[in-house]
Amino acid sequence: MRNKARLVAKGDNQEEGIDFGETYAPVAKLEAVRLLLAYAYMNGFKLHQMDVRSLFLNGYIDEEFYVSQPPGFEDHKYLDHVFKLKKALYGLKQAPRQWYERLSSFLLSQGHERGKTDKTLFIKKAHNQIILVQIYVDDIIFGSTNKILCEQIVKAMQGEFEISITGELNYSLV
Amino acid sequence: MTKNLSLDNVIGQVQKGVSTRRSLNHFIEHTTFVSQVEPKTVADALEDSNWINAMHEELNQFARNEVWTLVPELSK
Repeated sequence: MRNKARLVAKGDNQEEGIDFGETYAPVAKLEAVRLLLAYAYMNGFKLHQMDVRSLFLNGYIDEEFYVSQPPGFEDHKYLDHVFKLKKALYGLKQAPRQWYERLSSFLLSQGHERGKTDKTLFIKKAHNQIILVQIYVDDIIFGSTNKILCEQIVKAMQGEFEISITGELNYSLV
Repeated sequence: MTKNLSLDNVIGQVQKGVSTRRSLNHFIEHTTFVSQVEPKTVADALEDSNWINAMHEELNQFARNEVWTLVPELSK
């Protein structure tokens, strides 16, 4: 057992129109994950997963936010200072959306296409090969008919985000 | 082996005499041994070095991801 601390913003202080606009973020349905499993099985490839560390700290925010220094960790030289946020924080209403925005635009920049029905599925086809990337909040499930495509996405993701684990899909998500 | 141990080595009270397992029955059966106390407030957590470490770990993530910058508070 390990202690884990999470610094969160008090999202209930946020006012709509001033502190946040859109908050909707698509999340994969379990059925979509099952379809992916079936598709991978039929095409004879394995699924892998990776996990992004502190994912919400990866989303950029459009609004201006200030938070007070966390109690016990104040900078004694600058007690009258506050933190201005550059990225989203857990607890902010727009955090999940901004994370989805950041990850999806990254995948699109890597040549993936967003699923027409499932907005959390990203597909890339090349030379008769296919790679599928399904995002399930902080878990990313991916698989390909081609090993090199898999290695590419892992490398690209590691260059962009802090990935904590990556390996074969081995535990259920829900 | 020498029995000439200094009194500092005695754990507990010298006057208490011998405690048998039977005499401790009541204590063992009716006491809950709490191994994990969850702090209810930040002030509580700041008393515990394990929690302080966890908080440091979290704040390191903030530094690594360049989540924020310290700025002077705007005058009200």
